[in-house]
Amino acid sequence: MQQTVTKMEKCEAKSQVNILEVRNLKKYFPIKSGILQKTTGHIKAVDGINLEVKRGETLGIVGESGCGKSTMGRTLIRLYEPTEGEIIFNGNDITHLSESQLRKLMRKQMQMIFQDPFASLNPRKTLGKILHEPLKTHQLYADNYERSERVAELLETVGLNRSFTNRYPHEFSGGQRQRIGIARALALQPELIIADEAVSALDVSIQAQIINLMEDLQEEFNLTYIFISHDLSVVRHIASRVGVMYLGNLVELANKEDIYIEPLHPYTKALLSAVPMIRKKDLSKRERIVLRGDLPSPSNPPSGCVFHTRCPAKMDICREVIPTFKDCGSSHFVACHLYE
Amino acid sequence: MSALLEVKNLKTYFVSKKRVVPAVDGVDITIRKGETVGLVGESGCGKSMTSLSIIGLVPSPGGKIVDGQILLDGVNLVDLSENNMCKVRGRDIAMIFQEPMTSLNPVLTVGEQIIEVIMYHLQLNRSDATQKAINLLKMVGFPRADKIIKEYPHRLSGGMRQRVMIAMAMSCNPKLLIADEPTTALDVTIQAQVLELMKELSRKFETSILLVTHDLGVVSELAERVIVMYAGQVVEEALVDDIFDKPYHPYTEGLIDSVPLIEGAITRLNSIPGNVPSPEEMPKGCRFAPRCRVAFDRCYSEEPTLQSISTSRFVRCFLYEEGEVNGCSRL
Repeated sequence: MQQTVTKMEKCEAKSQVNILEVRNLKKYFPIKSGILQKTTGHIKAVDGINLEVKRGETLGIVGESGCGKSTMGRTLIRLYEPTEGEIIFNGNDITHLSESQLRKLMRKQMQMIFQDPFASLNPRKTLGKILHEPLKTHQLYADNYERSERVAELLETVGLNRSFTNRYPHEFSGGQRQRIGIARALALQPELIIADEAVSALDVSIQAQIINLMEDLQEEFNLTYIFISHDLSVVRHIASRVGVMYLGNLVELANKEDIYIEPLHPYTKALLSAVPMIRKKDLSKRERIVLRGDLPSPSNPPSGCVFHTRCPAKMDICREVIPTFKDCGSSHFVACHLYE
Repeated sequence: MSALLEVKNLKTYFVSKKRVVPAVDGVDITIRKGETVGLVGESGCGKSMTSLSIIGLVPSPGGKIVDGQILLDGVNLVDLSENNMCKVRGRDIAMIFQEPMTSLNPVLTVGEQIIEVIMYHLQLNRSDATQKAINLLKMVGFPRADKIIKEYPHRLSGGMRQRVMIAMAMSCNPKLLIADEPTTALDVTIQAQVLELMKELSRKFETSILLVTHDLGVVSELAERVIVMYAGQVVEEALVDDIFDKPYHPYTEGLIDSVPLIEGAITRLNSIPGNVPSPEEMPKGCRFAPRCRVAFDRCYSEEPTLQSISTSRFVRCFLYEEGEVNGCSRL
């Protein structure tokens, strides 16, 4: 099924090559117990994900905490070893590459921006050192002087003063630190940036600054983003396609407009209706679907469709059969028995 | 409706040997019975410190209410002794905090913690208090409440913990509930559950709610009136419909325009340049002037006062000096 779609799109636009392809990706974490630390079970954080990322697009990944979206992001960039499946980046299978091969083949092209700008910068290094490090590791530029030039240039790119190189991270505000995080990700001129909750820790006015910056940079450097966030409004703003995750599975994936205007999966519908809206006048138009209960434990996911325990449209089949993730027309993928 | 809570010219300062940091600088808030008021602003604007001042939990030493009155049903809470304040806190005013894990005691069962509150304030014996605790937990939506009271906080999920906190806060039918970022740590679907619950409870018991949050969406769902704070001061106050329809203060306008809408349609977000000034280096004149889109000369030299535009509408900005309502046009 996945292949037919690829074929179709190849006919449509040959220029739109996939920068990243993910096939049946799984990441399980062992649960160890007892004095012998025997593995007694697995947390199925990511449980069989298929997706394709096109060059130059922004793919938004949304879901609640514990749905595996961050684990997926970290597995894609090989910060976690995948348990199963394939990650194909620019046509190369990077699933089982060693650390040194990774550094040669993809680290330069794939970078990450982290959520917490306070925890992701080394407090004992100056800004200059933080930004020098990736350039040195990858032996870019001839000497320190050229590297310093590049660092200053990077700072200007992200809207910071080039004289900041001697300052330490604690001297900066949250928004400025996130700019530093972005500068670090840009240092190696990557093609793909995975942004994991990059704006969640920031105040709204600062959040808007960073989102605008990320959009400008995308245009300037032709970047591809995988934008992971729990904030549906932010994702609606920045993404071109959106994937919705629930309990380690991708339940829906479609163009932004399709997801937000005509969501198919009951979980997506509930998620969208739960977002508090700012304009009161619109409030009367929509009905809120309040889901009962909490997210089930990923160590023991429900049988059949993982969402059936909370689904308002549950049928008998949902308890027994796992729905397939399939195209319902115009690249709108959904995993739900309602659309079989 | 008469005012339940009246905060007049509240000033909470942090005083150290070297300097004085005015975290809250002359705030007025009125809350009527049964009313939900939203207090919004970015981090560092003094909204949490205002709510902590009302409930008498300003971090001490260092923090101190240096001026102003906090009248609850006519009683000035600032003058109460710590002993008397303990009787008000929990019974007349209750508070829900942002992070439900850190505000519950991890070594006591949740039942124990609710029972303690009930026994202290309502002078019930243990078995009656236990029964009341079970009823409260049922009220906030736990079907197996008699089992839940024996659970420890770490065994509950974030949404469940926040509901325990709400049960505890509602245990003495408080007149005023202060909710400081009650849903910020929760996922949207759980947030929807908690918001529905708070709405229902305030209707049922006529509890007034002071909702402190940075999330304008949550405010527009729950509150009737909104107070916007910036750098320790109230910059705008209005009914919730009015403020989102036509914000007056350039800061409020910027704040609203910074939020991406779930309905989409905006191509570029209007961000507010710069950062919130830290309380120790307040700019001269209007505190928002360095970040303001429409600031003019006067804004940098003189401090504007909170002007009344109509009976329910106040704004602190020179654009509305003579009650004019034309200065700040929406982009």
